[in-house]
Amino acid sequence: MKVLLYSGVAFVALASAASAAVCPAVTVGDMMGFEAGAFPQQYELAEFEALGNCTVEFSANPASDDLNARIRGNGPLPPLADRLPSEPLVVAPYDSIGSYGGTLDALSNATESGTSDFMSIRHVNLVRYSDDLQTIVPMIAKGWEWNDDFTQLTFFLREGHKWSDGSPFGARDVKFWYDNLATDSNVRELPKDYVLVAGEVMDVVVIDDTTIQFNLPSPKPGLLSHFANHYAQAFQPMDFLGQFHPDIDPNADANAQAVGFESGYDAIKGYYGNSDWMDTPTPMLAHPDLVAGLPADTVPTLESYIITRENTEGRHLVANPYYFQVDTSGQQLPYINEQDELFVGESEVRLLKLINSEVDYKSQALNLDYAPLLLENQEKGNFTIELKPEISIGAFAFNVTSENLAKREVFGDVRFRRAMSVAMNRDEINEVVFFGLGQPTQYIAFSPTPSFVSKELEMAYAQFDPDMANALLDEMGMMDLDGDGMREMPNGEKLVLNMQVATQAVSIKMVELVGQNWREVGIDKR
Amino acid sequence: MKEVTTDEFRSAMSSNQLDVMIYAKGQPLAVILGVSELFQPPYDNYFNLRAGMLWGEYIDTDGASGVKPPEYAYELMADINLFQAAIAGSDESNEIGARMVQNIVDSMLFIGTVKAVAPIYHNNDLKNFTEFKTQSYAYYRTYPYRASQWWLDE
Repeated sequence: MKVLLYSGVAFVALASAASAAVCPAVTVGDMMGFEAGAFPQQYELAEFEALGNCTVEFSANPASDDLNARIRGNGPLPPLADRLPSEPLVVAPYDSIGSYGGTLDALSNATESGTSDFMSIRHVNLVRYSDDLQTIVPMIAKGWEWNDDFTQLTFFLREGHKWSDGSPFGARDVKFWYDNLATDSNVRELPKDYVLVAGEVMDVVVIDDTTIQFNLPSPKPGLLSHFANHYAQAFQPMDFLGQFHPDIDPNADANAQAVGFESGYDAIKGYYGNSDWMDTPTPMLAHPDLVAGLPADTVPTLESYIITRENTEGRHLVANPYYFQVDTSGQQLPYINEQDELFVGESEVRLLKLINSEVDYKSQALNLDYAPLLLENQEKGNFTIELKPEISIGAFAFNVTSENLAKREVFGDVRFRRAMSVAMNRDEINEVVFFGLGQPTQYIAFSPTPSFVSKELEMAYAQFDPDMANALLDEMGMMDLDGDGMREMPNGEKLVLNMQVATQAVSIKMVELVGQNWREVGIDKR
Repeated sequence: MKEVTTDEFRSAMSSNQLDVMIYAKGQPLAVILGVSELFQPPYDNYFNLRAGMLWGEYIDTDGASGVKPPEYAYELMADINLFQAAIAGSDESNEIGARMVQNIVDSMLFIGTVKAVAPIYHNNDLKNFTEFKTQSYAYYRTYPYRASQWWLDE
């Protein structure tokens, strides 16, 4: 068996040698001579104590009891030692040991719209990509192990880890997620491809309370990477949701009906939804008539915050008093007590709120269009703007299975799609929309461009060549039959493209320029 | 041209009402190693840019409904499975990856524009905020940058 990356466990034996000295409160910026651990910027507790020959003394947010009291369904808090795992993750803060308190203010578009940025702040998964975007590091799992041919991936969880309601978290919660939610057709009509390997399901086996094994039907080395970068969390609370799941509790339907749902699966959907999307409305929004009679306002979580209020105007969250991380001084994380998310649908109003410094952090849906105004107001507004490369690019797709068969034939002809590509003046788009800071390119799925992709492929049909566009359209038989300057389809019908733009992901200015480019080769739009 | 909400756009795309769809697209290798959605019809999930809704329906229903995709779509589906089974960076993986990109460019179901930069905003009272490498959804936005250790110096 090949061990690729496996943290934590090897250090347990060393921990017994720890002396009574208190561990130094190291930060990434000031390591105080402390050695790096197996992974960047974080340690397993035993590893940290062994490296420093020291002991971490834990302390909790003084507001924990008050915050916990706002999580309906939670009982009184036990002492911190009983809330943390016996093997907490020790986090080295970037610059400073933090102080508790405050509310992080965030801005999203609407329920389930433009919210992933904010959700990522509290997100957890089995593993994580470090900030170098290359190194996978422990998170909920303290370690992992692949077999030689990448058909068996085993995760080692933390002893004593608890959900936000204090109930135990373990391997069976991973298996419950996979068997009873992700691949249960009563919950999700079809399993998502990320829970499959070449279209086949995996066999998820509980080895013991803290060891879970994914047995793959064929190799998929990227499965580990998936658990590091995807929103889908590979666990759900079996004790809580299982009371409504017919495969877990024979009284599931009765349990659900007792609190007002039609069936057990109806209650599962009420709390979990029908996907791993963590933004599914909680019962507070989806079932306001039932919520008072439910065991909790939202499903217990391992995330750093839990939602305590939700309506169409926004959401409010408090720190999870059972969160599994501490800083190097032993303070339980997170530092910030509360989060407040406001929904604002209009992009201009969002921009105004950013300029007015009403927000603590935002990147999603911030187009470069906003940059000049934001940069101009940085000092006055006490905020900082950083311009960073995007990974995805604005892309256009024609409906190759249009319900209109004449359009289907046109859009389905690759000559049309190539014509539309070379009709675009990407250099102009770059200058006008992206202030010359961008890089014209073709869509190749991978971004950044991997070494196996040639420059020619990356730029295929990305040159500005209206002559080629006109020639391709002529060749298709798309001519201007009525003399209005716009081409008709080969069957003689008019073609007017119906273009809708969601500005969450693309600049409307860019789409306007492309529409103008297309009109210049005779393709009309409305 | 009409500006719509993201929900309206996703819904119209799902119900196959649009002629041309526009959205951000592209993923890093790290994501593609685990998720195949960019390589099989309709070429992404509900939230993102798709083309060929009826091709996707054909595949989801084993041909019971929808429209049969062209051969190049099946070739790409087979190749993503091979790509995910290979060790990233190996000759085998690189060969399959190059073939996939050639397929994508040849079929040009999605047309790229400009790889750009975008702003990241943070209040100066928010401490332990490190500089991000990218402004992107990939890697799940702030997740690599450890927001649990952010604090407010107010």
